[in-house]
Amino acid sequence: MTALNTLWITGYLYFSSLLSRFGFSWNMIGLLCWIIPAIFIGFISMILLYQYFWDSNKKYAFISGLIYSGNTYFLMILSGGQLGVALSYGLVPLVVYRFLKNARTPNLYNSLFFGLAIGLQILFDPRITAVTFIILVAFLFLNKLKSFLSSWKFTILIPIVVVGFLHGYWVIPLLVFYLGKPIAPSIYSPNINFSFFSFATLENSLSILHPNWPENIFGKVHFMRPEFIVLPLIAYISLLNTKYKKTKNIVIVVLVALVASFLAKGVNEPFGIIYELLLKHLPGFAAYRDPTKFYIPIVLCYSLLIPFSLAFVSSVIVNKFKLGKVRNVKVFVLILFILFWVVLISPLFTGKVGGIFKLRTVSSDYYNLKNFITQQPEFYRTLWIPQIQRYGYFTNNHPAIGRGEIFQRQTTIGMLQEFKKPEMEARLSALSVKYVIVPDDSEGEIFVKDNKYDKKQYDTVVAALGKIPYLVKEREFGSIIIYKTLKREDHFSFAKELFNGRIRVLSSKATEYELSLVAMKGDILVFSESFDRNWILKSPSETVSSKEYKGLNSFVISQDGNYNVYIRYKPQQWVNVLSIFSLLTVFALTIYLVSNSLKNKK
Amino acid sequence: MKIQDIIFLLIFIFMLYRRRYEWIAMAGLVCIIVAIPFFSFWIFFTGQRLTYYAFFFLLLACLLFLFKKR
Repeated sequence: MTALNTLWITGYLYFSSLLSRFGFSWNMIGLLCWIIPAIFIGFISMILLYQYFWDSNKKYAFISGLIYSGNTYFLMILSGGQLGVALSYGLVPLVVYRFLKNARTPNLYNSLFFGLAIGLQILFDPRITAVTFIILVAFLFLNKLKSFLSSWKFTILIPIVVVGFLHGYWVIPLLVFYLGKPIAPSIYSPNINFSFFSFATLENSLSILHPNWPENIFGKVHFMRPEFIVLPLIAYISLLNTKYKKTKNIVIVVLVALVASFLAKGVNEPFGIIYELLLKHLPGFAAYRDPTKFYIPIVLCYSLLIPFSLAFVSSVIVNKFKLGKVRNVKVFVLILFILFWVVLISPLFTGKVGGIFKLRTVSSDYYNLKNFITQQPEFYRTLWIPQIQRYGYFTNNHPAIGRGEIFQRQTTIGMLQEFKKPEMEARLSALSVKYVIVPDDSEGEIFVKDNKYDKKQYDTVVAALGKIPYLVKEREFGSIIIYKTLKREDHFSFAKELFNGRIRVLSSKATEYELSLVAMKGDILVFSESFDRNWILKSPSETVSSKEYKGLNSFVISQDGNYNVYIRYKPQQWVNVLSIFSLLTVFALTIYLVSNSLKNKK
Repeated sequence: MKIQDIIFLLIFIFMLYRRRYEWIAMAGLVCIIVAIPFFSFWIFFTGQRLTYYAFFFLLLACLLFLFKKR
């Protein structure tokens, strides 16, 4: 098991990385497994949802797909490389579509399909699923609530069972081993200053204009662009379509869009205090410290409303001016809107949108660093100051401490001051840190002042580390500077210094190690990974749990002699078994759904 | 509180009294339309205020519609 924030997606990461064994390049895997599915699923499922939602207006469904898969929010997620979020975003219309179908016609097929869709979405980002629930709860009121509740077996129970089987492999170990323990990363603590993450204003969120559009530089917010204000105008014109037989549906969609716009602006005015209170007092809401996640319901609602409004406006024009050919007017309005949309997202075509939309060349210095690291087969860690660069290399055998995890203060100056503390040398040694690395900030993301690369900061770090007495400059590749620590404990060591015992690592995986030991009863074997009582040591005579030793794991040896032991991470054994159930559920569901839909077609 | 806020409040209270869903929705749309030139000429404070008003008018329109229906 890895960190909590990647638990659910790990399975898909392993699956996509398997393709590299068949000769697929990293770029190709990114395209095939992440980018194309996110765009394609989002586009197609939005069209399906639009057609189902309004029953008519099928000609405008294309606009719906265009808005959903071509808006500034989605483009910023993609360009920023948040591909898990992008895939989860792409699945939102599918989940809503299957939910509505299941609510209207509850049966086994619909409830299994809805369960599978929501399970798939959780796989990529459960936070997006929680946002999707806002839409689902609101859309419950489109149909008769009573019939939804009376068919609870299909509408509630079966989808929950499906999701339970699909995600039990990480949820159950989490409940068994970590219930009641603080597991969320500290960045989600409700005590941090959240105003730092609220960049969007109400006019931004109402206009589905991402505050960082188009450069996607964190903190760089542009002035409001007036052309985007036209979008809420078109969307909310639908409120005037009072002749439509289901005006209530329009009102509910508008209400969801408005509430989401209010949330997406975070702690900004008006009434920013409400979001602050939610963050501080609503359990789990801290996961939305970046409130732009609430753009998703707005985009979905606008994708439903804007084409609907365009159809309404077309019919008003035709009736008002007594135009004969209705079809021509409709086509004209559609073309006009598509042109307008192209103007809105024109920075995408003029190369102003960065991230994955720009071709980058990895500096040869980072290749040289990779070779330098991999040429030394023994276990050791690298510590990156102030943080790891996006091309920085790491493996399970050479993990990187790249986000200031070991420092109390997260600023560069704070880290450098902590380096000067006398206990730091022993700390780095205990963590098996062999190299301290200053990155080459080739992308201008680390040493930044006023959104521009600041060489002064880089020079300050290099100068400060050069004066640390327990670091020696080892190598430099271009601007990448590597310092070597003078002392370093191995991944496995004995607590007693100058001890005659011996440890040999026979095999190593991230969650299981086999060691050959020459040890005496009462010795303490130290395992330099952050303390977790779920690590166990299995020797020929007994099994013991880890005990804390200076923040690391340790095991008291109870047997003299030369023998082999296993060190395993207990929750992983649960994960391995439960993953099989998850995979079987996916296969069984897919076979059932495909065969059923083929039968229905016949 | 600025003069435009007072005018908004007066209209808002009047709309609340009349309870005409279409009028309120229309007021919201008018606020959005009027905000566009303000943003174009970089008069952000007033443009921003108008989007707030639009938001509250549209919210009121939706809530009134749903409560009336009940």
